[in-house]
Amino acid sequence: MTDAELIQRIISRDQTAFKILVEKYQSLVYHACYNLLRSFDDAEDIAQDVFIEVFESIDQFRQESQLSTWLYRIAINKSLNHLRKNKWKKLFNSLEHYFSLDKNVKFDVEDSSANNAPDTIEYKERVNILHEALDALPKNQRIAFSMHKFDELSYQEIANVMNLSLSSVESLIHRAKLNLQKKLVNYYKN
Amino acid sequence: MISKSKFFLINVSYKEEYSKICKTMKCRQVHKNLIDLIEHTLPESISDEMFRHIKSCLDCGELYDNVSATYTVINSVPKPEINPFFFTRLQQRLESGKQKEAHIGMVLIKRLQPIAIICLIFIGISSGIFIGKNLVTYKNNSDQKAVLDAYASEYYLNKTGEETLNTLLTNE
Repeated sequence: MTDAELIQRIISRDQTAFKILVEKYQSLVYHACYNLLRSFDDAEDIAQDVFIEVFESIDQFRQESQLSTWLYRIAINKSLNHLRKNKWKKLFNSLEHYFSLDKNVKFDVEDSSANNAPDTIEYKERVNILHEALDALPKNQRIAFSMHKFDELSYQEIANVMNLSLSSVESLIHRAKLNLQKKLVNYYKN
Repeated sequence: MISKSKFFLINVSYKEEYSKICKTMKCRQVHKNLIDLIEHTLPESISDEMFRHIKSCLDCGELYDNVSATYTVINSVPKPEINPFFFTRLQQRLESGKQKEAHIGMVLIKRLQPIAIICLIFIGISSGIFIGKNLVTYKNNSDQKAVLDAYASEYYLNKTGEETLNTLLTNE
């Protein structure tokens, strides 16, 4: 079944079509959310929010872009909103973590190394360093870089999702790499 | 005059200084292009030169190893697996959302019911007052008319009265 057919059937409130759509795109949406949120539970909640919005407002989708692009866009917007809302909560948690007695708790924080990845402390530490460096990047650079590196999207696809020109995406990713390099070099030099 | 040995010493120190400067410049160059080096996006000649420097410079070698190991973590980070009950949970949320909406509707109706009753009572009372007031005015008006009529007839102020007065006076 094509996306256009799926959309038409979902507009007429066909639950089966909605299930097909969810199964087809759940991984894409979930990973897009996870790359920004870095929490399994939050990513799942936001991914569900994305599909609820899709179900409720699919009649507003004008089909000018691909369905996957539209889903990506919603996922990224919702994830960013979630991050914005939880900014203070996160700050409080980090303060709590900072003042906690056991400093090694850091490695228990949910990270992507939880599944099948090398289980060494060194690997986890490297994942943490990389995530910290990525989180410190400006918003747009982080989104573009994550989509390119983690979701393996082409520059053109990123441009479509972010509503930017191809050259802007190239520039964003280039600057993201330079900033990342700067942060990693500073980290290892000190 | 500078002696031969002195010239040799100056020359050596100059060479050392020069090599130091070169080394620092190369170090900087390496630091600036680390990710390009890791991703192999630099021209071959430049990257070969940099790798030669990395092999000879202990600090740059260590830095390259660390940054490379951390940066390449991106490629090895496995994608987290999605919950197999994702759709079931989503469906539950959709249904609970509908129930929630219905619940909100019921709550709203319940909350609005007393307000609607109060409004109805108020409208009833105010319309009663309005009608009552108007009736009293009408009644007052009709009473005043009767009094005036009585005065008029007593003092022969109306037309018929005037006629009677006239006839009375002419008769007399």
